[in-house]
Order: sequence, then structure tokens, then C-alpha cells
Amino acid sequence: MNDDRRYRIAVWIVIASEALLFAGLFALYASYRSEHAAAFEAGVRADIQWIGGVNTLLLLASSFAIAWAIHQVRGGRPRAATWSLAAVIALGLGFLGLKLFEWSEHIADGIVPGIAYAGPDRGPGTSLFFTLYYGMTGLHAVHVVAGLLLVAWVLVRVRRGRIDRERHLALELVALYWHFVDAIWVFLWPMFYLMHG
Amino acid sequence: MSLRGIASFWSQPHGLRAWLATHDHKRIGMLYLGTVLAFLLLGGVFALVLRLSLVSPDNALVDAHSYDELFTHHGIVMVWLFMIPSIPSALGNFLVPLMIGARDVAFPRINLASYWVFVLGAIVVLAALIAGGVDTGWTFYAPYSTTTRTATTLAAVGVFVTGVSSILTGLNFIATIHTMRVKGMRWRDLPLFVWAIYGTSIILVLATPVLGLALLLVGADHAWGLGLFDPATGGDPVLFEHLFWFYSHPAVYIMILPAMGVVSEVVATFSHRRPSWYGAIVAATIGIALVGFLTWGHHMFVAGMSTFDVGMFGALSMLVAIFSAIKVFTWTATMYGGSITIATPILYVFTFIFLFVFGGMSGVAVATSSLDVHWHDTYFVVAHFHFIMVGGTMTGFLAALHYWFPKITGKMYSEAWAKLACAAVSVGFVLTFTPQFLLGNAGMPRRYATYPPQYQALHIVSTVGACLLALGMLVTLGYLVVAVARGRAAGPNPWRSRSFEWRSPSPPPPHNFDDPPVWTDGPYDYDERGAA
Repeated sequence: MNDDRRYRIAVWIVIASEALLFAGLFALYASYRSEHAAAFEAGVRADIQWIGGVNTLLLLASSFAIAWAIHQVRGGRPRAATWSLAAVIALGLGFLGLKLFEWSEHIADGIVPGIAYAGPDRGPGTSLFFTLYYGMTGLHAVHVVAGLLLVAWVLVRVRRGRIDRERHLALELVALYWHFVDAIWVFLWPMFYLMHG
Repeated sequence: MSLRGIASFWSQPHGLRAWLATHDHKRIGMLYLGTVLAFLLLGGVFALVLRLSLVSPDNALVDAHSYDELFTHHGIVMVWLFMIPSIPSALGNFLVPLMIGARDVAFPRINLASYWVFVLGAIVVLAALIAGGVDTGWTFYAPYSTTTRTATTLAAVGVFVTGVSSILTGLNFIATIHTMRVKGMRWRDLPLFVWAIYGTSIILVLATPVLGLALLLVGADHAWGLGLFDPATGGDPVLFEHLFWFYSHPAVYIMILPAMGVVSEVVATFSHRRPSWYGAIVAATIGIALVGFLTWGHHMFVAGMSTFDVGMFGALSMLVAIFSAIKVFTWTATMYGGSITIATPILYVFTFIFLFVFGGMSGVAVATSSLDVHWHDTYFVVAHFHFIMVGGTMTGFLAALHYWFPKITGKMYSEAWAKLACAAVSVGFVLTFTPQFLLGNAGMPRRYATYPPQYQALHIVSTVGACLLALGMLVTLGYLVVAVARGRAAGPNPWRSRSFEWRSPSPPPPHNFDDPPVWTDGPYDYDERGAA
């Protein structure tokens, strides 16, 4: 019981700490958007809308899949749980693949972070928007990779019977972290794909 | 070493490997202690060179660029490699499990990882100092930090890595205090030092990531030319300052809260009295930890801020002074009417209270925006934060080192030498920084390598003070080393404290308590037992 509690506390602290890590970037985005509204709206229009939308669907589906995996484990159905976790990994990899594709499209257009920016000029603040775009989606992508590694780890444990009906704390906590990564994206989606004025 | 032969954590299990890969919170605390003491020495050497170079107005000792690097290195080493980990990571690691009757911290392996991550970060920082140095000041202000040719990126990455270590340590303490307390110990039975570490840990886990982010951005900006804080691209340098101080102001409380916890323990033990108004001390501890997050703007009163914001940040800063004053009053109330044993730890506490009261009152002064305009970026501010944050942390650290030295080593140091060194440190400190209040008020700006001749006399007094302070510290190191080697046995509880950590043998065995600890009475139950 005590053991459960300390792991739960630890994961919630990690999530709180990560939330503050992103909060700094959210604050920068909010400040710069209020100063350079036109450039930010134009920047949002330049991002590839369908990729943002599909990626949101992929992550939401993966969150459902990991919750489904917990349900299966609790019901004593490890095979179904394994398939659910495999689906989480497939959806996450799909998300990363689309993200990489979008970045490469942007880079081909000269849209790179920082003062090397050589894409179409959309007014003062354009390079700030894209620096934040790469910084925030990049930091989020790092978290997706970390989350996927954790999901792969619990998948192996489910297959080996180390996570079962009675002992599934690790799966629950990995799912908690995965939902957090998903929730961050739910904010990034409007900030970089929807709020174009 | 004469600690051999006792089945203590020092010798069991045996061997270097067992030390470097230890999961024992006491050994990890000692590894931290050795490391932070080395950095205290290094940062102190930087400070001494700075002070010596300021003896003459035209600075015959170092050129202007080296001077910039020296004060930057002094700040980076002292803040991130000494003061932040000093009390929490070194002594907190050693004491918190003992004080709550636990076998170890909640996550011993994460604890070991936090130490090695800290070492890694420190090595990267040192590499930056050697490979080109850093000349931005410890604050890394953009846009200069993104354009200087010095090794900003490497230093920023190094500090980021030590931040990861801080977060791991904070996480461990919070989980430990929540889940590892001995059966029967309620929250209101927690020793005040443990409360202080708890408040500190909240700051560690919530503020450090913002600093990490700000430093990563500056490092990336410096490496790849992002222009994120550069007005030429539409960026705003003041936004960096906001991110930086959102951590770095609470960081002041990371340094001072553990010191306050030490003071609460030492005052109770040496007055042989239950702390007056325990609840108020706890409330003030948590209050400082939380309100500390809302005061960062007072570092930017002259950087462009609305008068409304200035007023709010000023008022919130003064709220911290109220919490601090509550603590000072409860400490004095505890001592009042107690039968005080005069020994080195409580002498350091007296110095702490003196420095804290004057540093704190000058803090209220600089939080008053109209006055701050005059003092901003002068030696007045340097003197203020050295009094409160450096003086507070250092005297708290020294009080803790002397108070728990017999606990850690089982030996007693020479009380006469200790009192002498305490006098040198206390007088040296006041002598170093009081002239700096006067210099700042007279208009001497900080971070200048040279100055007009009319400031020379005060600079010389300050340098003399710094030498006395350094002497005191070296003497301290000397007699403590002698005590480890040849000190007399201290016995399990030389101060006759009621606190839980003294109920195990000194030095403690690897498993902390010989018998499974049983919670019977609180850490401050002096009155019933008449321990005095």
C-alpha cells in the first residue's frame, strides 16, 4: 500500500514538474502572440492543417487505447491488453511520422527556426512564431518518444505476466503519463493549427 | 581513519565501490557534502581574487574581461554547485530519514542517480569555465548571453543538468516525508527541519523546470542564433528575465528555508525547550515556499514594468518579510526563558538571526520600488542578498555542520577552536558586506572592475573582512578534519536532544536504528522529561 502511494506521488510530481517546463514556453507564446498577433495568425495558417487534425485524432485514439489496456488487464485478459498497447505504440509512431513529414515540408520551404528563417516573410515576429513552433512541438515530440519507450516497457511486462489483474500499478502510472503528453498536445493543436484569426 | 571498528555506515559495507554505488541515504549525503565543500572552496577562491583585485581603484590584479568572468564563475559555482545542494542534498539526505524514523528515502536508487547527475552537471559547468569561461554574470541575461563569445551554451547545459538532479532530490524528499514516517508520527509531529525540507522540495520540483527551460533557450539561442530574445526579430529580452527569476527568486528560498529549519532545531535543542508556536513556524515555512513563487518581478522594477505590477510585486515581497519575521519572533520566544547552553551551533544561529534581520529589513527596503530605483544594480543589492541569502545559508550550513557533526562522525570537535572560528566568520562576514551597503548607497555599481578613488577605503575594509572570513572557514575545515581523525568520542546524544535522529547510535549503523523505531513522544518533548 505504502509502495503504491510513493510511486503515485512520484509520478504526479514528475507531471507537475513537466507542466511547469511547458508553462515557460506557453508564457513565451502568449506574450509574443499578444505583441505580434498578425505574424502569429499568418504562421498558424502556414502550418499544415490536416496534419495537426490527424495527429490530434491519433493521440486521442492512443489515450483511449491505453485506457482500454488497463480495462483488459483488470479483467484478466493479457492478450487483449497486449494488443491495445501495441496499438498505442503504432498510433504514437504514426504521430511522430506525420510530425517529421511536416517538419521536412517546412524545412524544404525555408521555414527553419531562428534568424536563419528563409520562408515567406509574414511580418515582425514570424521567426519567433516558428522558433516556438519547432521548440514546443519538438519538446512535445521528445515526450512522445519517452512515453512510447515506457509503453513498450509495460507491454513487455504484460506479456511476461509481470503486470496482471492484481499488480498493474506500473501500467496505470505509464497511462497517466501518456494522458499528460496527450493533454499537452490538445493545447498545442489550437496554438499552432487552429487559431488563425 | 579512526572510525574503523565501529559497525557504522562509514565502514559497512566496505570498499570504494560500495561507497560510489551506495543506496544508503547517509552515504549519499556524505558524497554530496564532500562535493559541495569542494565547490565552496572554489567559489571562495573566486571571491577572494575578486576582493583582492578591488583593493586598488584601477584594478591592478586582473583585466576587465577576466573580472567579468571571475564574478560570473563565483556566482555560478556558489549558487548552483554550493548553496542549492548544500543543506538539502547533503544534510537533508543524511537527516530526513533518521528524523522520521525511516530506514532510507523512498527511492534510494533515484537518490544515487541524483548525486551522479549532479556530478555530471558540475563537470559540464567546470568544463565551460575552463573552456573559454562565461562572462554574463550568473543571471545569463539575454541578449548579451546569446551573443557573447564565451562558453554560455556549455554552462547553461551544465546548470540544466544540475537542475535535473535538484528535481530528483525534491521528488524523493516529498515521497519520503509522505510515505516513510514511522508509525504514529503525524504531520504535526514532524521536526521543523523536515518541514523546511518539505517546503524546499515543493520549490525544487516546481521552479527548477522553468529555469531549465530558460537556460535551454538561452543555450540554444547562443548555439544556433534563434534570436528568441533579440529585439531585432521582434523578441523581448525582458521575457528572459521573467523566466529566469521565476526560478531564481524562489531559489533564494531553496537556500534559506533549509537554513531556517536548522535554526529551528538548534534553537529548540540548545534552549532545551519546545519551540514556541510550532504551528506558526510550519505555516510560515509553507507560506514562504508558496508566496515565494509570486515575488520574482521585484528583480525587474527598472526593466520596464507597469506601476501596478511594481506595486503588486513589492507588496507580495513584503508578505515574505512578514512570514520571516514570524520565524524570528518564534525563535526568540523559544530562547526566552529557556536555559540556553552556549555552544558553537547556537552561536552560528545568533549570527544567522543578526544577518537575517538586517538582510531582511534591507530586503523590505529594496522591495520598495521608489527606493529600489536608487539602489538597483549597486553594491547595496549585492550586500543585501549576501547578508540574507549567503549569510543565512552559510551560517545555517555551519550551524548544521557543528550541530550534527557528532551525529555524523561520532566525534566531538574542539569547542575552543570552533568558537574562535565562529567569531572570525561572523565578524568577517559583517565586515565584508556592511561597507558594501554604504558603497551601493553612495552609488558604486555592481560588476565594475574599476571605480573612482573615493570608494577605495570602504573597498579595503570589505576585502579585509573577506580575508578574515576565509581564515575562519579554513580554520573550521582544519579542526573538523582533526576531530574526524583524533576527536574524542561524542556519545550518542551529546546535546541531549529529544529529536528522533539522536535515538540511533552515532554514527548510525547502515540500517539507521538498532531496534525498529517506535514512536512514543515528539521531537521537542522537553517539558515532560525535564531534559535540561
